[in-house]
Amino acid sequence: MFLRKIIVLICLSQIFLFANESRLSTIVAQKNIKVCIWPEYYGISYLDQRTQKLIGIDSDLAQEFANDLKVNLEFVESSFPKFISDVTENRCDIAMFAIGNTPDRRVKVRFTTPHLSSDIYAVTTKNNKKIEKWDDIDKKGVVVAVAKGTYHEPIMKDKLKYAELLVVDNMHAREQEVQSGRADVFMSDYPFGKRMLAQTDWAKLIVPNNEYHLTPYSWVVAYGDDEFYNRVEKFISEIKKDGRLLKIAQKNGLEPIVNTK
Amino acid sequence: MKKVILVGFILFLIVITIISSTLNLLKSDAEETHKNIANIYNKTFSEHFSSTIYNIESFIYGIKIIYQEKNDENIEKSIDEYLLAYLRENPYIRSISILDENNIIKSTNKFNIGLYVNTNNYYPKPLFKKDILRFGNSYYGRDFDDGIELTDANKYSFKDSFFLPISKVIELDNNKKLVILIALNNELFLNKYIQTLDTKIAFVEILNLDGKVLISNDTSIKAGDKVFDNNILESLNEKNSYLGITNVNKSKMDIVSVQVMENYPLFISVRFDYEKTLQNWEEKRFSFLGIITILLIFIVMLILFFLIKDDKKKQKELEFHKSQIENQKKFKILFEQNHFLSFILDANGKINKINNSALSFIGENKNELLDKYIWDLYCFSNEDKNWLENVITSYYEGNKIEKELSITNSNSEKKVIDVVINSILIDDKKELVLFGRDITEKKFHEKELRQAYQVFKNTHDGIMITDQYVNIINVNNAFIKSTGYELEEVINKNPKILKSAKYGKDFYDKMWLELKSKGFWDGEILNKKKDGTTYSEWLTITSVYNEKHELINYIGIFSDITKQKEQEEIIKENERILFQQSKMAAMGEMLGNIAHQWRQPLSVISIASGAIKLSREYEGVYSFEEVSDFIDSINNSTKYLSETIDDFRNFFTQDVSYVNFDTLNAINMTMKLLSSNFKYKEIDIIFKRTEEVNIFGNENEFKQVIMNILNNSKDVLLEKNTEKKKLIFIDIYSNDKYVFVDLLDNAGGIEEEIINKVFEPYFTTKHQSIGTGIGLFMSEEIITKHMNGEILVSNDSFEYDNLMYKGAKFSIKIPIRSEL
Repeated sequence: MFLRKIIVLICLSQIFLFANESRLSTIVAQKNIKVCIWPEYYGISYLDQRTQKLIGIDSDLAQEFANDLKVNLEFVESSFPKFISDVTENRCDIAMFAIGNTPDRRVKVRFTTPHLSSDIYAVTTKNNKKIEKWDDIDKKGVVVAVAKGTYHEPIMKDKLKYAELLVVDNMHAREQEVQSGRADVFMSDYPFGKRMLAQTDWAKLIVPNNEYHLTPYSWVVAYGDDEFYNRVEKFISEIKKDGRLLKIAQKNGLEPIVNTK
Repeated sequence: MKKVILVGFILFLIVITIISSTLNLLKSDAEETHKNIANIYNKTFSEHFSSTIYNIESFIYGIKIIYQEKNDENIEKSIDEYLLAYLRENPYIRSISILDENNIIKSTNKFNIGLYVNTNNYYPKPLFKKDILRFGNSYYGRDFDDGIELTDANKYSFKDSFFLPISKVIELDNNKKLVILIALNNELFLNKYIQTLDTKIAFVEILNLDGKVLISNDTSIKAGDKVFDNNILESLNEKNSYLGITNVNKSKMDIVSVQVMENYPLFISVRFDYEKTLQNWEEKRFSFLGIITILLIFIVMLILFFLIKDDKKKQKELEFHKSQIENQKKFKILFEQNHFLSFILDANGKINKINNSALSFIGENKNELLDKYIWDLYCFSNEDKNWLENVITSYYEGNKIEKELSITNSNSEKKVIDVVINSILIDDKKELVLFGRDITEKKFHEKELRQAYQVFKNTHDGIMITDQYVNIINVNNAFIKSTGYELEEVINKNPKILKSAKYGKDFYDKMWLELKSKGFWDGEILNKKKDGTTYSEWLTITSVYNEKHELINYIGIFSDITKQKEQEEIIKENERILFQQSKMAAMGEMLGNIAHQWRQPLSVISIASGAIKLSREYEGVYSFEEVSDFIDSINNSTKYLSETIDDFRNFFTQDVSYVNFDTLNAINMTMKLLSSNFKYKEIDIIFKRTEEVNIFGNENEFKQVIMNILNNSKDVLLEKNTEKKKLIFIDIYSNDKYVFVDLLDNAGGIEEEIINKVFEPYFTTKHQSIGTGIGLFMSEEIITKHMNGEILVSNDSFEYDNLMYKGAKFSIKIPIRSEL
């Protein structure tokens, strides 16, 4: 029992020691950084199943960040429902997959300066006769799908008055609901909508008439590590200044939503 | 016409171009259609392949389930049955093996068991989840036991069998990992897919994401070849598909559709040989183009044929119309501007149109004449008016009326007009055209010609007309009569036929020279008649020129002067006799004068000789000096007598020589012969002006004229003027051209009744004993014919020594020239 107490104390002391040391130092010391990504996020951090390679602005910027830190990059599979716990429970050092900066999330994790911002877009099928324009969405009888855990879920709950909101478990499920006709549209953002148009032959993008709900996209880190946070901010500042952000945004077709200031 | 052909050709080109463009568009459409067909095939194949692979994944998942759920001693048997059942139902699988790490521990092909197969290098390498389907390189061979992984594309033949290894890791609950390895009979897929295609032109390939061919039905492509360039591969990564026409095999173009399988790292390519696919279409296109071209050419030629035909017809109509307009214009110009009197009448004879010549001729206003009957015009005589009315009112088609009418013009002059009336049809309306041609002058010339012809025919002068080559073209009756030649005998003959032997070549050369230089020649010539006898003629040859001054004729007019010559000889003889008579008369006068001249010297001689005789008989009566003076007087008188005889002899000498002589001297010498007689008769000779002027002629004849006039004056003075002074005035003066000699007496003049007859031969007022009547006749003959001068006689009143006298005045005017 005593031995157990000692072991616990040793562990706790180790934790405290560890807690006092910045994550940045650990990364540099271990020459490895763990970055959480959601591998299904088109344009941001999309895993091509055929090649098993990540494609997207944030996966590219993660590589840039690792290069700047001169450490190896290790991607950790995450998702919108999981990323807060992944970051706070140290499964990754930082989550880099264009996370919408919402008040609920800000309570739990620390958002960096946004490097992207996207409005909400709707994706329907080309043969859908109900939805021709944005105003057709919030109508009685229309089913709108959103993925659970995304910022679209609370926003659309708030915005929709007549249409029925369908919350599905994951991103891919949204597409299946719309393709199968169980839903009329699903709500997405600019990168995902653009990718849908490029990758499928059935999707039709419905663009809002005016600004609907512009959401800044950032990366998140755990609270309590200013040194690492500042290093990330420094990196963001540098890539905005030296043009890497714009260049990589252009490469991934996201220059319309990039925030270079 | 050229324009029509050009337009036709351009239209033909345009239509051909449109058809060709349309066919090109259709070809593009055909290409698109074939691309779409390839794409549809490819999507079908891809979906089929994907679903098959997905089926395999499900099958593998089934293995995992069996391992997890049947964890007992029968598990291996269950697995074996599961594998075999699947194998039997799915011929696209050659074998199913289960590996523990890299060694096959279970397989549907017992020969595979124990084989080492490294699946770690299979593609793709998992990033997060390890249990993903992975694909290895193709093997040639039937299964892993006899198969060899393709590392060098050149080491197999197409007769070999191929398969594609697929692996997937399954994690069991006990953390044990197994690898499921499947030999995929991809030949089955290929054979299945190409069944619906024409394998001569259609090719299907399965490729991995590096673009390496895993299997193909194209014998020119081997497994492991890279058939697509990087651009296509990039396009595939971007859009998951490629559709286009590209050079896959370098030697030929293909219609290519490539689809990336949605979840697996494989491509499926469907290719159509571009040339062969569209060959049939191309053949049809060329056939179609050929038929259309031939059809078009035929249509264009047909259209051109009709156009040309129509054009010719229109051309003819146009030319006919033009010709009509031209004719109308010409007619209008002809009508209005010709010199004929022109009228257009309606069928009733009313004037519709009238031209300027007719208006000018008639002298009336045009408006006054229009709608008038032609026969109501004042210019026609009543007889002609009736005739006109009659012929016009009874005119019938084709009748041409022509008549000469005598018409009065606005100047009241009678003109002969040749009137012609014809009918014309203008716009199917019959009208009459009356043309009147003024032939007054023509008539006059015709009359003149007739007269000239009568003259030519009947004149006594022979006339011969030659052409410019001096060939006779016509002669008149007088010629025939004079020469004895008939017309037909001399036609086209040279006038040399009349040539006598009298003249040498020089004569004719001179004649032609003068004829050519002056345009005419005249002279007396002796010619030969047809019978050989000769005749004299006075011939005038005149050259005739046309308007261009080209010689066209010679006209020779001759008078037969043989009789005239004979007559002249008689006249000459008579004149000679008359002259002789005149001389004799003058001689008689001279004898009287001699008598007077000699009377005084003879008296002197008689007295002197009587005195000398007396001195000889009576010595001392006259002194020697006086006798000597007497002898000198005799000598002087004798000398004077001798000189006088010389003077008379000279006067009567038949001297016919023509020389320059002084007028005053000639008159003085004449006066010398007459002076004693005139003195005796108390006639005073008074010279008014005495210019010394030389003239050319016979001096004696001139002296004779002066003597005749002075003797006439003397006779009249002696006859009429016995009481008064008898005076004769001689006035000699000259100007640049003439010398004038006026001889005026105061004998009272010549009676007016006879003054014009004084120069006629044998006219005399004297008694026959003293007058012969030939003196003044001869004087006029000498002055006018021998000296080319004039002699006139008039009566003149004048004052002299305050007394008035009247007398006859003979005025002689002789040209001053060196020779006649």
